[in-house]
Amino acid sequence: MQSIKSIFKYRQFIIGSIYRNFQLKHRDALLGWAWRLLSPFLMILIYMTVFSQIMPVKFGAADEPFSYGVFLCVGVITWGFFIQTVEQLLVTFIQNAELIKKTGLPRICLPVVAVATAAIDFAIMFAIFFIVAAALGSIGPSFLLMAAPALAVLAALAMGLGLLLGVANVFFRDVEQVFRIGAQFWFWLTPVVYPIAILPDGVQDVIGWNPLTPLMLSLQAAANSVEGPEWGALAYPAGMALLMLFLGARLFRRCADDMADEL
Amino acid sequence: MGDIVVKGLGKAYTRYASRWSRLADWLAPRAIPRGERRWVLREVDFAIWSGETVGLIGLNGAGKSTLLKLIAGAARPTEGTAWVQGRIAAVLELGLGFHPDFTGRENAVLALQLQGFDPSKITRLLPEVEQFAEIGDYFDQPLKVYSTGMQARLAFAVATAERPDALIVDEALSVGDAYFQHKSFERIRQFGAAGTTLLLVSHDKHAILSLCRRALLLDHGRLIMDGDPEGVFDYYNALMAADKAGQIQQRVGVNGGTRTDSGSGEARIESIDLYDTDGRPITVVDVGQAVEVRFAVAVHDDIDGLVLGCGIKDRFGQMMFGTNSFYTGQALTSARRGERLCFRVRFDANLGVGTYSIHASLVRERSHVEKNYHWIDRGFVFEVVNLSKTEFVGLAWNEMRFEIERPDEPPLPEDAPLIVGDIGCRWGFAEPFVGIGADPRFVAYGFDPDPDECARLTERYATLAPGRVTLVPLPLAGRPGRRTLYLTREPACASLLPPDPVLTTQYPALDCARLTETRDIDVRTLADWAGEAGLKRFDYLKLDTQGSELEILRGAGGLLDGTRCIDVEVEFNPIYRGQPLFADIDHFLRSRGFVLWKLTNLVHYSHKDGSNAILGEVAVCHDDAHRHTYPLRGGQLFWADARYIRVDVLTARPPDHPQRCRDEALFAALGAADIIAHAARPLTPDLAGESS
Repeated sequence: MQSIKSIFKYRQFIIGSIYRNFQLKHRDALLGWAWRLLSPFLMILIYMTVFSQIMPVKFGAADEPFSYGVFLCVGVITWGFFIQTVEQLLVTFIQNAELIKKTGLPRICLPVVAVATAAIDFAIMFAIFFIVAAALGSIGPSFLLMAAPALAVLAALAMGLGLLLGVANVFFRDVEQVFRIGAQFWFWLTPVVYPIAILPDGVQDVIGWNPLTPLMLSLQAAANSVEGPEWGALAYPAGMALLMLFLGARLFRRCADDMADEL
Repeated sequence: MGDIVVKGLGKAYTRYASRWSRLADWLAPRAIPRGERRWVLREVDFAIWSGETVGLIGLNGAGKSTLLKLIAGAARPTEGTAWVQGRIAAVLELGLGFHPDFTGRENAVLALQLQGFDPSKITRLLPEVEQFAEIGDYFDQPLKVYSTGMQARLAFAVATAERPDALIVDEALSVGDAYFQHKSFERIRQFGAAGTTLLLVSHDKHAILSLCRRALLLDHGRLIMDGDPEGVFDYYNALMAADKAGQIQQRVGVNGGTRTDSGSGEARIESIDLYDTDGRPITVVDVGQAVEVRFAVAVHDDIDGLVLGCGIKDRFGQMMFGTNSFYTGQALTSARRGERLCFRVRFDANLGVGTYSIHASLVRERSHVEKNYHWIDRGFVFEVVNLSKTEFVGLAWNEMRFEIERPDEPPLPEDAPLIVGDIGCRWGFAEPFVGIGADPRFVAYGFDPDPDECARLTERYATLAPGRVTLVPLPLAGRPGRRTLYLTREPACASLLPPDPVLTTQYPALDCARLTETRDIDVRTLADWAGEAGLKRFDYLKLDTQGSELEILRGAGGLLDGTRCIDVEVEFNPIYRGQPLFADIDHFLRSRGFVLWKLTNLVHYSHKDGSNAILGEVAVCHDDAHRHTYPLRGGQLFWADARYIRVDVLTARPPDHPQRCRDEALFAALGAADIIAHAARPLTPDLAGESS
């Protein structure tokens, strides 16, 4: 309750900070804000053309010309969202050490800014992807509906994990190092760029423990619109997300006050 | 709004032996934490009510910054509460959480958003921030190119963009340049006057004394004193000295054995103390103040030579000056066991502002190489503050007198008004200039701190000389700020300096200057006032302000450049403590191009019988042939009225020269026929050629 009140009280600062986060990325570029649309558009274009046309991979419904491109985009964009959210949360307290030390800013505002920044980035990218793919006739409007539950769970998992690691990182800077290396492995242990079916059965079982696996499969299934996603498969990652959120919030509450002393 | 209530406040930091033990504490918390708790602040209780101005002082590490952070909400207390009513603004350390890649403007927006202002208000406040910070084009440059001073300017401007209910200022201000410090203090003062509660940390006694009505003293995380700033500062200085003294003992203990010839102990310095000329122990010294160091020396063995060395070192250990009793020709050739001696060393503290220590040594002859009885470094620590001198830099003080030569400006036209000023105008002043029949070209200004007296005089001159006499109910001084006005039995003897209680009780005639009460007032400088009133010069000034004449003249700045004559009361013996004497005023006015014309109304004081006998004659010589004498009586000379005139008043000029016409009108009103006559002496041929 207190947190919601502080977020409302400092809304000007939160909105301003999100704006500054984007401004910072483009301030020295000639095209400035245009990159915000241009770069995701070009990326999606490359995935859709290069991987679907020039290097076609046999995949699923082979008659569908852009199927691998769509598959890639769904995986890469959502993975990107996940990683960006966790990384933003991971460094937010350290990057804003000055604010924490020298002002009475409620700590909760910083993760809010971090998550919102990542979410807006993702929303732009996802919207462009959706428009391009829909224009090419690869996916229909029902995709959004079917992808929503998995995206919600993904976001919750990212927030919980990010908060947990972000607070821990204030006190043990090792966390950031470990996470960055771990993320490399995690990427390849998640069916983002390859279909899970190409793996041997044993490996598939192991990868099944990765909470991102069912999420990815669900999203890819929604994109391919071959069959509806299996909602039951989301229970495990949703449970993990709740656990992470609980742990993250608990650690944050316990340590928020000590941050100023540690930074 | 603006109350600050602190109850049982404490802050502890937990220190872990290593990161691993912290991790262990996290993963498996135990009843007893593995870390060691260190309290930096404990059991602090105080309340500051709305509109109070409070200074927070303490040695480094006393917990001042922690306390401010807790009140500002930048850190959470471990125990107790700090509660602030209303909006609080804090200038803590440097920066305010600024981002180096953003411009000053963007950072200002960020900081204003942090204060919870909405966009329209921020748009309105931004130009004011830009204007106040005065960093020019840098406002739109990234912060990474800023100097520390510029950052401090921006931080202060942003934090004080809108008057908060409570303002907390850490020592952030000390990084700025003098100009901005001045400006910041002015804004803080305005906030205080408008009802903002103020909590200020500073080591600068002057800043605390001029801004605060109350002071808190923190020591080792505890609040040990809460009272009037002067008293708290005295205690703080004693504390500081005690702290340093503790260090000495430590150092002697550690180094004593390694210095082979030092401290053989036949004679020892038992104590070192610093006194002012009235014999009061002090630890804070004004620049240039006459002080006395007393060394109590005990002799423990019969010795055949004893020399005391004494020197003043700055905080880096650099010797400022020093000598010993051998060089002054006062070496003792013998001392008996059990003898106790007192050495008194007097000097003027012609030192720059800062902390200094007294070094002392007892040796047999001229140097410690031969025989060293006792050696003390940092035997006594004192602080030098600048209360009475012009602003200066450096480790040593020496009055620098500037003389500026510039081509004569064209003389003022004959009919420009003659502006006269009377500072300390109680009982009236303007009749000679604007009274019936006098020259109507005069415009007169009178200054007196008492608004009632000014109202009375305004009424009086309203009929006598309508529109030509302005009474300004304003106390003047050498610098703007808050000062104490000492009210006396006779209102005209009120002063910015405390009357000497010894004199005012011993001499019945000086009873009029006996202290009755004190009052804090805001003072300004003549130059400031004139700037606002649009006045460029005073043709004539009279000052009688019971001791503050010199500082008022210093505060007049360039206004004096056009002044033709100054009448000022001068003292030969101080009736008020710290009062500048005739020599000081004479020195100053000569440096500004004036010469002494005469001393009148010489007031001698003596006891009733005998000593006022005629002692001889005093003469007035016009030349060797014409000599008038009058009798000189006894008694101690206390004060007189001095008339100074600008050197070029005496320059012979043709009768129709505009300056000469103006001078004649002025000196006629002053009844100074002698000056007119002198200026009107026949022109010598070369002078005539020069001034035609």
